[in-house]
Amino acid sequence: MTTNSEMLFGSRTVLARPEATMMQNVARYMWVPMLLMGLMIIGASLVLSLVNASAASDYFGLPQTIRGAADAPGSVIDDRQFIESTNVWLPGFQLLGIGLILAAITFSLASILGVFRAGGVRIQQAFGHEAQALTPPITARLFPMLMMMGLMILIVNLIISVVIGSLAWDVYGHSVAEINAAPEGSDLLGDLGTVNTFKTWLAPLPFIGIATILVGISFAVHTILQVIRFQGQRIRELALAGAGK
Amino acid sequence: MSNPHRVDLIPTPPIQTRVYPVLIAVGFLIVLAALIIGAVLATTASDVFDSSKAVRDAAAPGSSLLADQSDLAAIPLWVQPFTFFGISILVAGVFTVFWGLLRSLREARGAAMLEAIPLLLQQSAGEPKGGE
Repeated sequence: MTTNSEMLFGSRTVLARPEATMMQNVARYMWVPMLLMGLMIIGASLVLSLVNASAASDYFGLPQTIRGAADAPGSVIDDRQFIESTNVWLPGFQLLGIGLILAAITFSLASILGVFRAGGVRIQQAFGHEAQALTPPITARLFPMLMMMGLMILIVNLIISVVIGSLAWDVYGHSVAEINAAPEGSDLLGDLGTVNTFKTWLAPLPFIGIATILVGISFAVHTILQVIRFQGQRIRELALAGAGK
Repeated sequence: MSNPHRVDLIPTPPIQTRVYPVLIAVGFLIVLAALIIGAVLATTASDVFDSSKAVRDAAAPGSSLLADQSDLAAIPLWVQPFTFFGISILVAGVFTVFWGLLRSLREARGAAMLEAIPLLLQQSAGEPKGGE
């Protein structure tokens, strides 16, 4: 008896050799670099945050009269430039690191699927039966695409953040007094508006990427669940076939 | 070559396989809603920063400019926790499907292996079938 819901998730195929699919083989080697890149980005972000905190400490350690003066020292303006531009792109950079770590988890799950596939074939052949496997269900086809889509969203977010960060660098290259005095219609006020406008939606955008990768992970785990159920069914079929039932 | 997928010898899929898609969908929609709020807020920010600082600072009580500035300061304060709420629901969905996986390992594959492997070993050794 086959339930409709499970018919959606693939049928069976006969395999001659205990081999993982190409994606599963790629995943076996890709999870380590992904994890390392993710960890390096998170580490670099931590260092940058500390440098940014130091700049903020220097900047806000000065009285408002110096910070807000039209002839503020160059070092004060440099600190403000660094703080404001880093605040724009650093969150996107950190979330790319998290995304890469989640992608490493996705690759590990794909690698586990490869082990189940090859192991299932070996066991069936060891008992002298035809080696059957589950054809890739829809979840198996979707999860690598979701992972890649999520990473692309994170990369695009970082690119936009860097562009807006460089615009923030230009804006805050002016003294506070100049920025505050920018007249309506001026380039400086326009750029300040652009920086603040982009910041409102650049904050939630990378979470769409993270959410997409998490959906991919849930599909990968569901695929493993389906494979496990298939293997339970298959091993009982082999026992029944051997017993002549 | 493919055959129909028989599932007559294992228990029905665990309830978790039906719950997790709901959690995933709700979590994703919350994160998407946060992005939409951010995009709407971008138009407010654009309106606010069209005005010079002197005009912004002089905005009268009850004016739309002051209301926009208030929105711009207040809304981001809850949008980020709202986004994290969505991510938490997504993670809960991932946890739920892992829970279903654990149940399937125990109830579908584990139970089947416990029953079938001794039989298969007997059959492959050519011994007469013993009591089950």
